[in-house]
Amino acid sequence: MKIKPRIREINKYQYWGYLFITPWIIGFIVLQLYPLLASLNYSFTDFNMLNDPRYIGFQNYIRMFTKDVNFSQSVKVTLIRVLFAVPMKIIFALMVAMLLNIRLKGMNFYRTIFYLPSIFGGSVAISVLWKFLFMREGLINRLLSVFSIKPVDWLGNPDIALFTVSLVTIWEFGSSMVLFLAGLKQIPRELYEAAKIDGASLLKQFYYVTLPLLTPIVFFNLVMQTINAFQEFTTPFVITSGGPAKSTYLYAMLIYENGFKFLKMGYASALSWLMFIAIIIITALVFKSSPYWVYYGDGGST
Amino acid sequence: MKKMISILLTIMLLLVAFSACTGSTPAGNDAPDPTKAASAPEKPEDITLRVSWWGPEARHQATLEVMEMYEKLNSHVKLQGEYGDWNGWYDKLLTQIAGGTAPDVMQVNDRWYYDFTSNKQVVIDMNTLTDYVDLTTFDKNFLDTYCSYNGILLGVPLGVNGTGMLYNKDFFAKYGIPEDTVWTWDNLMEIGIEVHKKDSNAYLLCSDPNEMMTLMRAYIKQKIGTQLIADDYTFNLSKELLTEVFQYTVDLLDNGVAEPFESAVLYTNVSNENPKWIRGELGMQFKYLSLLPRYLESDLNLGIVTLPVMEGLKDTGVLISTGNLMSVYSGTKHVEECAKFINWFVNDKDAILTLGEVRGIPATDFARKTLSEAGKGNTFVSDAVNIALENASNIVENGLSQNQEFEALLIDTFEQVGFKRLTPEEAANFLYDTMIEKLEELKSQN
Repeated sequence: MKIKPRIREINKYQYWGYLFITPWIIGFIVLQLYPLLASLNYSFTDFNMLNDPRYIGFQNYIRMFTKDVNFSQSVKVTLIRVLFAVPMKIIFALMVAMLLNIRLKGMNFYRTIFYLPSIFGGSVAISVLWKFLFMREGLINRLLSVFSIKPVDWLGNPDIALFTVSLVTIWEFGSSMVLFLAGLKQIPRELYEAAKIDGASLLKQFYYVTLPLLTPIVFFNLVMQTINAFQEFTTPFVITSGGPAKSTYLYAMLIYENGFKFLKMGYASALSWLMFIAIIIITALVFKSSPYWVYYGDGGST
Repeated sequence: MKKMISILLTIMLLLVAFSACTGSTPAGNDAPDPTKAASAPEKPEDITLRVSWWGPEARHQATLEVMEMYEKLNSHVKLQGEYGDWNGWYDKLLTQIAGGTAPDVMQVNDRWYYDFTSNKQVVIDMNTLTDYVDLTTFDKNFLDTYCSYNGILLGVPLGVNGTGMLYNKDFFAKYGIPEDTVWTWDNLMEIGIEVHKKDSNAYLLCSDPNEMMTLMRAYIKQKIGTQLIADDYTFNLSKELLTEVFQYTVDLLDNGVAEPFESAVLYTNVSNENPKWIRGELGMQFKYLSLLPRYLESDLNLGIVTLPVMEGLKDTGVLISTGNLMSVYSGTKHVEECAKFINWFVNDKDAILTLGEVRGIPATDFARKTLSEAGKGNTFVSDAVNIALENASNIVENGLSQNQEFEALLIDTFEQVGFKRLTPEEAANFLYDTMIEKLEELKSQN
């Protein structure tokens, strides 16, 4: 007799909750769920934006692996980029966060400055600026010439272009840094004091205290950054548009080119779905691996 | 509880009422009184036409000005401009077409013929609108050859475009190259080598991979004298010819005749911004003539010649095209009004004078005369177009040869060769095999 009214009350609150999130739900259905399902549908057709789509079964999916000459190159480029940019970004963010964790006058000012690149995040203007910096006649080469180093074709040389373009992503380390900073603040001082008493060097303190306690944040950053890195498009597209010699031809560019340049919307949808599945699998693998290296204070039971 | 619900409902009601009000206010002001409209049926109904184009700032200004003039002359028509840069324009337009929200009147590029006619009919055949559009001012042959596809006239041509070699007169003087040199592929190489010997910073040819590909298409056409891909899906380029073309490209780059791709690639489509060109360290470059105004803005002393030729050539390979056309979207509700506007846009004297050459040399004799009489024509560009027309290729590229996938593959192969990823033989084999497979696929689809 006592439980019944409570349940009713919860139900009532539930309706209110739904009412308040209606705008979001509408937005989700119209702007995300519908396009998602539509693209799944298109991926089984030969839709090209101008014709009426015709169902062709799994042909689009078969085509990727058998006929598309650019497919393997774009997969290769994307993987190299992810494997390079994501760890670099996390390491860089952690290093800067450690520096900014030092008690110093005006530290808040520095924190703001270091976060700035992320506010500009991925915008076209930054990409254009980046292009100017790394041109043959650009600032970087002029700086190198002061040390009598020959100019380097940062963006024109197929062997270096991918590296140069990835630098932009690494440079936008702000959000990961903020998370690390919050994590560092949470580590109890007593642990460091205890380590000091036991005679641990700074390096050992980092390795045995800081790093283990930060693993949940490393884990979170790893998942988020990996997902983002796979989908990266704007910056490389503006700076090199896939060139030179397809050396920065990311998977997202392959999708874009097929969809909008070659009018193969159906095929582009299929490519997107492959990427979607790949990201899910990789994320799942990272999650599976987490019990082996991520430390949770509560034993990770929740 | 009830109270809260009622408050919420009131708020929602207010919101709905408010939004409805804001939505209807302008309409209430602008729309003519329905009773009046009924009593005066001869007065045309008020309509809004959306007009879209891409291009540089000068084109936007002139077009907007002309649209205002038209609105004054036709008070029932309201014109709404949608314009922007060429980059990404086609993607945007395609999305609009796919969603059925494309503009009523749109500027169309001749490279889209294949896409626009091989699927759903995107634009209305201009031949059916001759009641409103005067096509007699145009050269019929020009309309049939360059603006029609399978007998469908896709739009009204806005200009004549061609190809040529733009050169720097001071550069030629500095290295003792006579301006009246008849360029052949052989002396291009020889003179280029000499220039680079004299100054290791100087290159005779300025070319990104994209332009190199277009230039070498002329070489190919001079050799074969036919379409690159025949209408029956035959690939007319042999492996031997492709190897030869790629070898020639590699020689150009290795001998310092052409600027290395490593630095040229950063100025793809914007070689006017290439610092080496601005400093006068590059001699000449292949150009679509519609791009000339951009190059004429600089202080460089420029001239134009036709493309290099070879002995026993079967065709000149000098591409002539319309560049841009004005078309009527097949989904529009106001076909007649769209056609009337386009007619005025290309045939009215005031419109011609205001627009000038923002879309290249006009396609009608009347417009060209009007402009030169008013002293508004750019003689450099018209001379360049005339040189191109004198040397015009007999091959009007068919849709298959203009296929975007073929073009992208071609550019990519030139890059692979230029960056030494593939030898000329490997590149020729790769391109040939891939194209044969692609063409078979295309053939089976149609």
